[in-house]
Amino acid sequence: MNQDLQVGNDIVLKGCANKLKIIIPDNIPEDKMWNNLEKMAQGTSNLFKGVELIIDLQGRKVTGNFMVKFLEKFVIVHGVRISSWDTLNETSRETLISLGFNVSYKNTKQSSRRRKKSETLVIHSSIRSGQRIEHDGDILIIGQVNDGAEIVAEGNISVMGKLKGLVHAGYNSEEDRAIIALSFEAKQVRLGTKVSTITEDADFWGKHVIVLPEKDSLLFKELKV
Amino acid sequence: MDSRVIVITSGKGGVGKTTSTANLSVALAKAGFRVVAIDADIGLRNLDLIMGLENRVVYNFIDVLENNCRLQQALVRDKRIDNLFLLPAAQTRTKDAVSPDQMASLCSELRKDFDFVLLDCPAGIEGGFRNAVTGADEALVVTTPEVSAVRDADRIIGMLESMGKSPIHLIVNRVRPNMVKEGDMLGVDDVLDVLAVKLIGVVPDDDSVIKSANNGEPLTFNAASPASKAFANIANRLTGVDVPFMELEENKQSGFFEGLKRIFRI
Repeated sequence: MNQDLQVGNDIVLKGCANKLKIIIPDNIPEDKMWNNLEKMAQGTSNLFKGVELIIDLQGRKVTGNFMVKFLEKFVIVHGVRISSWDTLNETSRETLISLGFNVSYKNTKQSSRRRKKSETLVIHSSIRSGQRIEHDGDILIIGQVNDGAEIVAEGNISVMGKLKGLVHAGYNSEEDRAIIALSFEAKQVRLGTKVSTITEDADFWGKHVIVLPEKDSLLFKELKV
Repeated sequence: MDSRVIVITSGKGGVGKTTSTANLSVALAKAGFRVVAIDADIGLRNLDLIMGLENRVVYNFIDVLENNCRLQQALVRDKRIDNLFLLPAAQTRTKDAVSPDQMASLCSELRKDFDFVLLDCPAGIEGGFRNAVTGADEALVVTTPEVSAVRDADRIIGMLESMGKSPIHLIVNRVRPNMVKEGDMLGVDDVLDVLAVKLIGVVPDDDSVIKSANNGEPLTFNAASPASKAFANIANRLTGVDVPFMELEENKQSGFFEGLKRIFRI
């Protein structure tokens, strides 16, 4: 199911994997929200049968009373199964956790990552031993990455110089990433959840190299431009 | 001239910080500058031994900071050169006995009387390093041509840069031309390629350094060994004199045939 369904002009019903997500915008007043939830439940009652629901409360601040009402007015009355709750509001997250609800962290992390993904961090200097650069987008180093330095990016990493230190591209990311170095002299690289060690007798040692994920390992290719 | 406070540091231990401090202090004093060498390695003091002044130490700079004596009382004058002084460290205390602010104010005080204040920094990157570096304007980073020493020097240079110390100069110590030629030791160019700071001197590996340290007589007092010349050159470069880098000679073979060759000048 890929199509989003607008219910009552405000609440959105969205298919994701084998689940349904009900997105409740936080700008809807509470009274209107209950009405719209009721309309949605009546209009789409067959849709909920046997399906797990994720309730996305967006930035709405929720209290214990709000959650009791939610259970009474929607969950119990319509007999729906809820697998988890999403929220962008930290206080609401804590309230939900303290009440024992299953809260997904993915929503806020993904949205913040999405916001920053396009940004590339450009560094016009060499990175020395003991220095660590972290960024949630791509990183471009115009200089060397010395032995003992660490570069960690959710995106790709390009080193326009010698790469001797440790780089980890695609950190905390499920997408395929790449590492590029103009002179590859690193003894270990990390890409996503994969780690590879390299020895100085490798064919590509000291050359232009691109590192890509390949099935369960990493592919090191001499980069010929 | 304006007083200059220079820290001699390395990160790694045993690469020649104290030897460099002693030899440069002597060379600068011989050139007519008023020089004080401070042993900032509290609890592990060595500079007094290397400079041959250990039997004349009465107070140390912790005594000064704790008002047990005046600064002038703690300074040990070198009898061989009138304008050379040592401010020793306390051997019975630890690095925690002094704060960076205290070191900075001590250096400010010494600036009034000296052309050069050389700080012999302890190994490591913790409190002792920070204490020694805080009062300094510029730095001499000492390394040997070994990957471990170079990595530590790189770490130190990064920290010095972030602390705003400038200029940062590099001394490559204990270079063995034979090993470099055989590819068994990093060359000076390899070291510079990684560290990317200005080279101020290359000191060859030289047995006379060990002898001089044991005798408490820094080489730059009068020895004509290659290491002595290298330290004297560094001191000159520090004062702005343009001294060409000397060619490091390979150790001559001392076998029977080499002896014959020398006799017959083959």
